Amino acid sequence: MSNVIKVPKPGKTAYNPDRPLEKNLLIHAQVRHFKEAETQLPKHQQTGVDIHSIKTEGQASHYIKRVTRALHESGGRTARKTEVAK
Amino acid sequence: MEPNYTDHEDAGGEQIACDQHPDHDVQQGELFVAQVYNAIRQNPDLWKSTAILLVYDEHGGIYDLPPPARKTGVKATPDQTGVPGLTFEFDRLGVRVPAVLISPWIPKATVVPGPGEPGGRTFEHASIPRTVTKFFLDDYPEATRRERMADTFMDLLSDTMRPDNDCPVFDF
Repeated sequence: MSNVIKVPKPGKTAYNPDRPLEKNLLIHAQVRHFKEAETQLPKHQQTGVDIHSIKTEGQASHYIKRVTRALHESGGRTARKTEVAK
Repeated sequence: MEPNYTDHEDAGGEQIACDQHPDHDVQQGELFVAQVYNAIRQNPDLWKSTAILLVYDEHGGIYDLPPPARKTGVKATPDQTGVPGLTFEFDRLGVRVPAVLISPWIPKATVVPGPGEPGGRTFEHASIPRTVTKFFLDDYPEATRRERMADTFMDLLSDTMRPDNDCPVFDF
């Protein structure tokens, strides 16, 4: 019989998507990087989101998810390459 | 595997960040580790062929008891820093970070002594690609000088697999 180690779950107050983004420097920087990345995408795949309007972790997560999806869908094609193709 | 870095709503409901950065809940990170461990531990084929390396990119805080170690022989030249005019030589390690190697092939209660202790060794993040390439390719000429100088985790794995009932499982 294997030794069983109990792992406690976080308390009910642990979840807080409204945590101010300015307190999460990692994600704050990541939002700026994603904004830079999406400016390389074809116009129709850009989100048009003003990242200064992103104030919370939950909003940042939503934005990163949208850009990640757009990056995947772009298949690595940048705006410049698309224009050349036209 | 990368942890989740934000608290957010997803199709699966409330997702709590498990990255253990402040001020996220540290227990969610421990739960994440336990879930990954259990998924591998409870699959006999994976368990006997997998080594889990739990490692951090940062130490937490700004102080460490021993000073960061030097890495002689790996000085970067100015053109290798990627920043014009930067002369920092990247010849020292940072402060220590925790690392836990998990496998049934590691003898029970193994603790690798650190620098300054008898038989002490220094691992670094370059030990990760060094170990992987050593295990899968043995000789890897494309390895950087930094990688070639890094110690590997290979010798921590023995030829004897610990019995199933000697390896714990997590309950959550």
